[in-house]
Amino acid sequence: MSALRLVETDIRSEAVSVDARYPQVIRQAIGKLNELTQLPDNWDSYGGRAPTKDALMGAVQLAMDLFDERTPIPDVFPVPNGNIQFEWACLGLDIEIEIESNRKCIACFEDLESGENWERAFTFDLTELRKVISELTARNQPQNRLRAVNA
Amino acid sequence: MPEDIQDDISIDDTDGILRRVPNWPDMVKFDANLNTYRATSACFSDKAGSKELSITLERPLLESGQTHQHAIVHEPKFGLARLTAGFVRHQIQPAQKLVREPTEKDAFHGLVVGEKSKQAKKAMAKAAVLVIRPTLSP
Repeated sequence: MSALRLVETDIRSEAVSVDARYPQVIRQAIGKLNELTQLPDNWDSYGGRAPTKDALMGAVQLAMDLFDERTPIPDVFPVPNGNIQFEWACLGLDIEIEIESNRKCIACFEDLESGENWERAFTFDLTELRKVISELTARNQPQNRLRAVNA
Repeated sequence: MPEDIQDDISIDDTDGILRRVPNWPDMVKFDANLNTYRATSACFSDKAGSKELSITLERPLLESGQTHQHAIVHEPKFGLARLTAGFVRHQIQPAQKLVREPTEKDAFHGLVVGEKSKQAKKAMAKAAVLVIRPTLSP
């Protein structure tokens, strides 16, 4: 974890830099998270909270724990309650992970092919979450992408 | 669903409900499964600590002679997503209630009230139509 450099303010993490040796998916996700540290309160005009330090750091941790170089790059969004959300809507899978901290997130999963569909909270045991990211990553392989296109 | 809130049945199921979509950060994504651009489900999250989602009621807005653009008059680069009242009442679980709550800034302000699971927010995001696309900052 020495590749991570954290510069903290009294409000939230201000910047995170990632070593170029990390996979692009992690570098891009963290780049987006860095942008979101600049978000003010009321960014959505409905009183939305700026992302919290816990959520930003939890998202960094989750990306480093779950993503590898073949994982599709997620969309990264702030949530009005101060959380961070990773989303994928591709390869027949809909996955959303809303991160509150490095100890708490809620995920929503849907496999459009099999119809499997669930929503659940995660704390320390990320086994099920790791499985769905693995499935997403597996479908992102060139031979499987071809199958998806031809399906 | 909060028991003490009455669903306002003067808001017809066919009436549009409008939700602003920020331009920065960009809250619109490409959904490759649907092969279209749509707002993220994060746009349909309640205000922190509440079960209330602010919206603008389309019918009274248009009947007053104004346009969709007036719903984003204070945030002119924002976009606008449209759902119907019937969708949030009948197509998501748990069902939502609708109430009018005019504010100083928005005479046609209303609330979508009720517990919203992540799946419910995702369903709203997938069903919503972007009637105004956000103007992205350079």
